[in-house]
Amino acid sequence: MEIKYWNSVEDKEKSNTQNKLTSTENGHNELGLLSEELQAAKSTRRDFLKMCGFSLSAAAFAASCKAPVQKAIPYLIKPEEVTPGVANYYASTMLSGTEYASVLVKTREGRPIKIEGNDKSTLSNGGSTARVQASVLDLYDDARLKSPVIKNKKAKWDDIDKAVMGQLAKEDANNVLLTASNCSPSTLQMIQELLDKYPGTEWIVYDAVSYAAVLDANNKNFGSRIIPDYRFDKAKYVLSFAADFLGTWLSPATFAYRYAESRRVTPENPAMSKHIQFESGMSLSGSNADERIALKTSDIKKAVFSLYQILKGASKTDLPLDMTPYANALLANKGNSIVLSGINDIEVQLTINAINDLLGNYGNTLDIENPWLTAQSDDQAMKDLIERMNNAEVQGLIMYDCNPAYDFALSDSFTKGLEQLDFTASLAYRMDETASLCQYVGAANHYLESWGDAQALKNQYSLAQPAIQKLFDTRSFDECLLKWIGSDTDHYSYLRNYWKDHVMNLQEQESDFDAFWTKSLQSGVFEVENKDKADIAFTAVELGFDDTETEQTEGNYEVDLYQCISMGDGRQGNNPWLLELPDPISKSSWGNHFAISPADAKAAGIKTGDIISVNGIEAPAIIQAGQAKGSLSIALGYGHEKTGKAGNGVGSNVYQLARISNGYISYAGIRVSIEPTGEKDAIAFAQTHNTLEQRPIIHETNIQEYAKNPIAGNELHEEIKEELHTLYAEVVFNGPHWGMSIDLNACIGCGSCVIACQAENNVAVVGKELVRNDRIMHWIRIDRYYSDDINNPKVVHLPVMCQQCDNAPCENVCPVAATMHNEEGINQMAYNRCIGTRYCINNCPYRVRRFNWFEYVDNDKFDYNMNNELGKMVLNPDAVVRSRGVVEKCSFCIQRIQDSKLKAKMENRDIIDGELKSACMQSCPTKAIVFGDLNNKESQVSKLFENERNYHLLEELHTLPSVGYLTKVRNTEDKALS
Amino acid sequence: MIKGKLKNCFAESYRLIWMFVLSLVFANAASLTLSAQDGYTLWDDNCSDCHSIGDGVYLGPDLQGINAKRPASWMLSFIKSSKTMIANGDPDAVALFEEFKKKKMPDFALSDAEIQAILAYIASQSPQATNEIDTSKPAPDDQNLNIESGNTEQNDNGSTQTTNESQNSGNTQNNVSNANSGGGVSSERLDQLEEKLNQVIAFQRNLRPTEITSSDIKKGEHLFKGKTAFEYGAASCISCHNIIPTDTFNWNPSASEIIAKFKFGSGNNIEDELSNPQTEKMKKLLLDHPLTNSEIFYLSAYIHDVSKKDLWAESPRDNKSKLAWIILVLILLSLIDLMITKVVKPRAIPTLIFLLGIVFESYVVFGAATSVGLSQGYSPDQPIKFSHKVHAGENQINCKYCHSTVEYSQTAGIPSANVCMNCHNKIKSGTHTGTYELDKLRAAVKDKKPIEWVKVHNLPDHVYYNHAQHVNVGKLDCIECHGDVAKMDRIKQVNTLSMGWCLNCHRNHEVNFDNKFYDSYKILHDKISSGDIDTVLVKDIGGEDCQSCHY
Repeated sequence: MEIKYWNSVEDKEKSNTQNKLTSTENGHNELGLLSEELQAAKSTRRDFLKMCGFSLSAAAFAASCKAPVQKAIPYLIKPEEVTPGVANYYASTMLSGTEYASVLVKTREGRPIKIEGNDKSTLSNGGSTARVQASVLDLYDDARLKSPVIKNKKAKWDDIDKAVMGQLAKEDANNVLLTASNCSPSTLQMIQELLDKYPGTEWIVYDAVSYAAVLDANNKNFGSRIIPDYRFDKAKYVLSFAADFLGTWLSPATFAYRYAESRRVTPENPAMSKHIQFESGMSLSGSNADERIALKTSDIKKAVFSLYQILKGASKTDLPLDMTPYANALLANKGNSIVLSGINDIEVQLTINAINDLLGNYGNTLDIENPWLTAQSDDQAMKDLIERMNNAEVQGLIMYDCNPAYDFALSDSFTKGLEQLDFTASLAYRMDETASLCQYVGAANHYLESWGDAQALKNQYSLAQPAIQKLFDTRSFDECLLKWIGSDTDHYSYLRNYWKDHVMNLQEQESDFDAFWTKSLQSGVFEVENKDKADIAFTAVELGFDDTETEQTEGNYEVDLYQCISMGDGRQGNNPWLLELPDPISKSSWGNHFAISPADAKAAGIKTGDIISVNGIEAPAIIQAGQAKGSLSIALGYGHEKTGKAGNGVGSNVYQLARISNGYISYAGIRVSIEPTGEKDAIAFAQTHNTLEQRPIIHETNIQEYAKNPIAGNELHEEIKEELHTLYAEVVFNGPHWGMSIDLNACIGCGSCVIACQAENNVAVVGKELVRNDRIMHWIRIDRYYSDDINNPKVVHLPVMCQQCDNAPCENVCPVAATMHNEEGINQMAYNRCIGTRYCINNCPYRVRRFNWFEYVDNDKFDYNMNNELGKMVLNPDAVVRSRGVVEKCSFCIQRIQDSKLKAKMENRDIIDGELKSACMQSCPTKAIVFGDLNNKESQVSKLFENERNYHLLEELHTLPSVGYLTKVRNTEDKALS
Repeated sequence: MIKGKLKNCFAESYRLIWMFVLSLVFANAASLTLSAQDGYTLWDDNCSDCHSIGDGVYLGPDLQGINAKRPASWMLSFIKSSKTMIANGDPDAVALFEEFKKKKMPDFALSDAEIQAILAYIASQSPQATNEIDTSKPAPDDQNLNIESGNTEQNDNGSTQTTNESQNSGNTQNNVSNANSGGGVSSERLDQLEEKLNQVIAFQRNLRPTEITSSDIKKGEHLFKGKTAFEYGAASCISCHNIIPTDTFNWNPSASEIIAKFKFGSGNNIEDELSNPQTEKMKKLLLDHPLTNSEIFYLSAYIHDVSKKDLWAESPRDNKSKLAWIILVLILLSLIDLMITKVVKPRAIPTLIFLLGIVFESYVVFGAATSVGLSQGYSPDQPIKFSHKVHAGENQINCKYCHSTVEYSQTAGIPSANVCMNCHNKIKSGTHTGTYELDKLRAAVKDKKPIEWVKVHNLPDHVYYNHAQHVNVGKLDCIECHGDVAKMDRIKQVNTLSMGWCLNCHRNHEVNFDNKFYDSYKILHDKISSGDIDTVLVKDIGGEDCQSCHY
């Protein structure tokens, strides 16, 4: 079976006409080394000699100079738990609107430097998303608010408190507390106390990306605004209507883990779940689906209704697509399927619920007794609020953790309404678009500076503890609430009391509260064992299908606004790590783009990079394979004006394209018309520089073939193995031989490993221009390859880091022996020896070596986290910060290896398989990456290397990589669906 | 001439003023048996381990403002025997006992007077007392103190006098006018006089800097450096206080350190120190050989003059470049002579100079090039004259007591000041340095300013070194890298700490191969049992890999 892979629409079109591509055809100067300014400058041979002379004398001068005096300043009184040189881990909780993650915080000398998923939490299982990984950098964001502000002047908290409490106490004033969703039970109690104390106050929950329709549908069906827990691990058939549950929807890290669990195959049990995705733009979930149907949103809605009707017994639908096969498959998997939708439309959500009820999924794959409580928003209330603000029915507005001036569909009328209020206050992390319009602005804590708790699921409590002293004069929301309700207990005691009164009685093991508290704090989570099952009955409601589009008639295109994995709803908009993280599908970074289908692009004469105007909002277009015809997709969260130096002006803010229809914010299926502007933008793509040239680096098969023969799709591996011979003696490793196995079946391409690696190894951010020039520094990249039909391609995500070849081509060509093999099979890189010839980069067939073209630290041209003292606090002290002119690459997290080895030696034992995790392995939510000792035949990685699916990239070159890949298995059939 | 007379006049008046002040101080001190100063000593010896004044709860309660909270009689009996009071069921005592988790305060065999002195000291350290300036109304403290003395009068007539006085002195320390409450009319007049005198002195001091002439400074310098002898035969300053900022490990503060300490406006006064020395050494020295006032004046002038220069620390590298430059000139000269001038007749001489010079220069250049970034022999002055010889050598303190993290952390850890204070809470005077150096430690703790030690063993940033690996796992002795520290007063880098030096050890050092971690190194185990190899060296298990140390 020969499958042709391509990495972009342009690549496919070119490969149709010619076989060879060169990577330097992207319009920039040939080598891409110099800016135009520099190119214009002339230097002569004499200049060169002058430079030689100068450097010689400079070197001589430097040699006779005195070395600087270094100070060693110990603690005055050493805190007991802090030991310089030893990392401490604290379990905590990240809660940011609807996003929840139970995390472990690694601190060195008292500063958090890395976030890891908490393996004690069944929601994260040690994994995390890219944004959770990157959240530690937000702590050290120089653009964050460092003190409270009153009318644009630095102020004191006392004055803010006085003003807020004065406003709340006014009897004739209608005050509104506007917050994002907050699932902290203690905070909710405080809010209740606040509302009780100040009766004129109302609380409204607003989320930039709202789950209101799901909540309301469940409210109608089950009597409370909750979201059931989706047990993808139990599901055999998943049908998703535009819900990107692997990328951004509700709790992607949790769902990705469960999803991957249901798709692990062994020769003994060749069975996996089947995933069908209906969507317009290609999402992360869609790219992993076994079958992806590209439809524009209005058609998806129709498909949902039609599916329901067919399940109910109707035989015919007016859709061009016949939903009968899907209905049959669902019926065949009654109780074992999941149907879900990410469309914020009450009718769709009610229908989805009705379908799930019809299929008996509640109680099996959908856990309604232990539901998610993270989302609480109410779009209608928010819309009403804005009307009331404009009608002067509201006098005071106090906001926390929300930024409607930036991210609300009606942000203009919100801004207008805000001007009419007597009193506006916001507790904000940065002087964002909303806060800068408020009279009183409180500076909010980062979650790593605060105490707190969360109840993500009904039976899942978790605690947040501070991992660092407050860096600035900031306060958490809880601390503010306590002040405002006039409580004299400090926040910590309040939290403890809450847990004593409300949480402790949910368990029986610990009778002493202190013991219970310590245990919960240590593990970060407390899970209630739910014994008695409350039978929550499904109440059917009448479904009204409204196919007729009432107001939106103009325009030929439907635009969908989605959250991309890096920006989400835009809260972390000033995070340079996330800004540079390539989108898993388009591979573009530093901005958002309108994805347009190849057919539409051709018809409209649009090329990738052309800036188009959609209802007045301009952004470059990308021709996206698999985009539904007649639809456009663009990511939310970009186009900030006031988020900070890195994020301001990157991309376009498209929240204004959203509509409010039927009382819900509608993010998808908005009818628009497009207009080319005639301008162009060079998009910063991270992958398309390189070409695959049809080398067989991806092995894939389908489940039927796999069941017949586990080697299916991987036949080449055996062939090559037999052909490869060498004259040299086989390399022997006395001790461990480190290796890594990556399961292409489990890898969903979420990018968590990329950020984890960046945090762990002090990888520099280089900015848009340099990404465009193929100089991104990421040590691990996730290549995304398409195959098959350009209108609905199949996708493979392929993480590539240094393959640590035992017969490494790079090692042979280094003139100064700066890169060579070590005793444990690692291709090591000695930065201080490297003179920057880049021969190794040239000779590496995997393109994993990175060159430091510039100094990325303390350089105003790269004004990211490494250019200010605060941002540098995130650097890992165990990894060197590389300077200009040296090559760097994945080291298999050598610092972690050394650390684990030392720990084992100190405890007089061998390393336990699985205890040593590289950063990418640790962060992976689907456990696709396994790291370990290949010399230990019992280790997981050795077993995976013996697996029938194991192969290596370009193994025909006899590079003997220490990284193995497992063939991707798709749950597809060659024939039509049965 | 007139100027000289005037100056004499000034010096004389100054001397008179000082004599008066001194006599006052003396008279005051003589009339007291126990003062708050003694209160401090008593406090420090008996109470400070468990109590603080204003720094929060240690083992026992914070005693700030305790005089206002509890009657003196209660305090007296509680301090003498808290156990009896608890046993007798005193409600306050029992409440305290319960509050502090049933920890009993030990009984103290202190006299009433001593306890009063302690209480007076606490009062003097409590903010009410220190900030109390308004004398028109008696402050709560005063009231309590009055009650106190009343009570003690009833209880113990014999000690009444002492109590009154101790309490007065406790107050006069901070507030002169408080003396009213107990001192009587004569002391009031004395206070007024003292205040006037203080004003006069302050006035004179303010004037002084403008009146210092360069000849005064010169005289001061001569006295300091011993070019002029002191009138009463005191040893010259330079004989103990080295004038060079570096290499002054003679235990006495160096001149530049004195200068830094007595800088104009630092609050420390060199005249006071010289006329009324505080340290034992200076006391001993100046008792028999006092300085005259003019001498003190000159010295002070000199010190103030040079105080603009700061103490500086020596840089790690010191090269012999001077000699190299001279030789280089010689080479050039010989070359010129050989080729052009041809003055020196035996041609062998310039030839020889040229050749030897080249050899020498090559040696210097090679040495300099190979030692770039190395600092063998580096031994800078430290902010505190801490002696490893005294601590690790004479007192046999284990390295790990202070460098406690050496076995499980990357860094051995420079002890934080609280570790020093574990011992120096009690040991208040150093073997060589008296209290001078230890005062710095105490000041650091008090002012919450960490001590900025100069790092001696400093590896570049691109080198990862882990103490735990070498000390805990490799079982290396500290001496192997750091030299015989127990014999060093000031720490010195003995080894080069170069990469070659590290690698030499990695190539020759045997691995502690019975660690269970190495069980998986089956090939090496097989080789040992088959007799192919005797020992496993560090290099056999990756000790020569770049990424053992560079990552």
